[in-house]
Amino acid sequence: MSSSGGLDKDEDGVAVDQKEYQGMIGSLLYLTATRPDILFATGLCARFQAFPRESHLKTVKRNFRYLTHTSELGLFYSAASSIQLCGYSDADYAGCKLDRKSTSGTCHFLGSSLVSWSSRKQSGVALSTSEAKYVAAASCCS
Amino acid sequence: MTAQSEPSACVWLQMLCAKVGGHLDKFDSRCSDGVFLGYALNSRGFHVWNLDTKQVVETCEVSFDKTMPCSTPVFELSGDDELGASIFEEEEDAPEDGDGGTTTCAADPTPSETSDDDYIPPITSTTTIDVPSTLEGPAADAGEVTSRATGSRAVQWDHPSERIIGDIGSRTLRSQTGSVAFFAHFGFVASFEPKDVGHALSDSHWVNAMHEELENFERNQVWKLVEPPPQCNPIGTKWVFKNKQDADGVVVRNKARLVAQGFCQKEGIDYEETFAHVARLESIRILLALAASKGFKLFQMDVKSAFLNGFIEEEVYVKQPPGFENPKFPNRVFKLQKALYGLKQAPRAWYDRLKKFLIGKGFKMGSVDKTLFLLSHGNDLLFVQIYVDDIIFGGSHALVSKFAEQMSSEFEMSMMGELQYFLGLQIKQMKEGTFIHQAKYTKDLIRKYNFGGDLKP
Repeated sequence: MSSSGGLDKDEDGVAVDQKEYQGMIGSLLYLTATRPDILFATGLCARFQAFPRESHLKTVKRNFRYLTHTSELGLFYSAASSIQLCGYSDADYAGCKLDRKSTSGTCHFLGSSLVSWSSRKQSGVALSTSEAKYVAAASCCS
Repeated sequence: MTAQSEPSACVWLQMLCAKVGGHLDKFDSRCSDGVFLGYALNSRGFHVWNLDTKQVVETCEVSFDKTMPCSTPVFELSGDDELGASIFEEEEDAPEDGDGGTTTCAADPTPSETSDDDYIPPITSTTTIDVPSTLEGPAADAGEVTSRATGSRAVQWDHPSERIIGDIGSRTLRSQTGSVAFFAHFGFVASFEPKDVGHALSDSHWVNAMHEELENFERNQVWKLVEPPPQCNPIGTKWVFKNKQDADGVVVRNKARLVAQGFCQKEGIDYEETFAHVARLESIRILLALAASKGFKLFQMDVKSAFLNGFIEEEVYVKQPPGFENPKFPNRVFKLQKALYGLKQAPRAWYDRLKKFLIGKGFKMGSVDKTLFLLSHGNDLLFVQIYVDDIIFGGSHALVSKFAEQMSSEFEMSMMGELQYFLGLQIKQMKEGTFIHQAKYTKDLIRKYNFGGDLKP
């Protein structure tokens, strides 16, 4: 999925069962315990839980289609890894179509082992890419 | 009803069930042999013990082999030939001891019961594994009567010797019990989950499960029966019934748990704080990564009835459990000495107990993550991570075995072993490193949300 996502509120779309949609999002969120690759996509779909439409459900379904063929993926913690902690961060710029806020992504490695990660929409509107990335770097260290 | 669901009541049939999975050659057999165990609870299928995979499956793709008399040992593939065969013999012999009128063995293809191709054992009205034609006579009657004596201990006592399978005096080697343990076990569990206590008391398996729980209380000295003090408002208790299933969805244990109705408690009056100690997933992952790079194995253990171990500071009175009131003192209440499941302070009381125990043994609590405990002994290190009643631990070899010993002497532990499955994470610890994934959870999800068959795994 591209970072712009192409998802918006879709107010004219056909409404779908909210409870089921929320259930799917919840299940996917738990799956992010070992699957950082679906974190952004799940987070994006989770923004529309209040009024889920068919277009949103279609995106969730696409996530599941990805999972059907990659269900065996997981994290590998190598025995040869050091234990040096290292954090990385990045951000898109105005990724959310609704309010033009940016999304920061962070991850932490212990040697070569990925132990922690996040993808969050920033709380304020960044006016430049460097501002967005600066906010992301700050959230990575806290 | 109960008389039929007693352990002697297993139906032995030979049958064919379709082989699934794995690579099959052109000339390989497409079927495997199995033994009919009972009817599936929620579908039209059968519970079948697959002799090839040594697993119980629920399937309807079977054809009953009526040419094979049931007394023929079907255990050729299993290593436990003798024991298997001996069970069959006992099965056949048992009914002769009773009235002798009918036979327990449904596989006996009597002409009246068998049509042409699909012979299916008749379904009786019982809920567990049944013998279509039941035992008759004094033994059966006795079983019927005692099971109705609700809450009476007589249920446990009444085991007429003619209805016990096998020779009581004979020894069973541990190696023999493996695959056969299941058969013996299958006759001992009820396959339904009762909604209320009345329903549960009508089945001896559930009565046993409830007795087990109450005995657990006695052993842990959870409560004392006392006269209710004035102005005491005892908290109600309730039975919760749950069937434990294994990975293949077969019921392996009936679990009855007595819980307090903690929603009656008021904050500030009945309890001060409520809190359950759960570890953050990040800290579990960091521990896994650290263990992999330091080259030590992680183990897990599970405390049995963990919350019953916590001491509570407040005075709490609970009503007597429904169905098990003391006939002499029906008005008395139980004063709790330890916490009960359902009480608001139960998780906290358990955490306090465990924390005190660990700190008393020289552990240091993590300053950020309060669920991580560390013991350092010179160069030796031991990490202990707590997730309510699940405990992950690992470190230097000497400390690990000592810790396991200490824990099992202080608490009753139910499971101990290498860390493999924790909170739905599948963990594989290898020499080259540790791999964690959620393949099972993912597949369950895909099965659950299949979008009308659109998602094909």
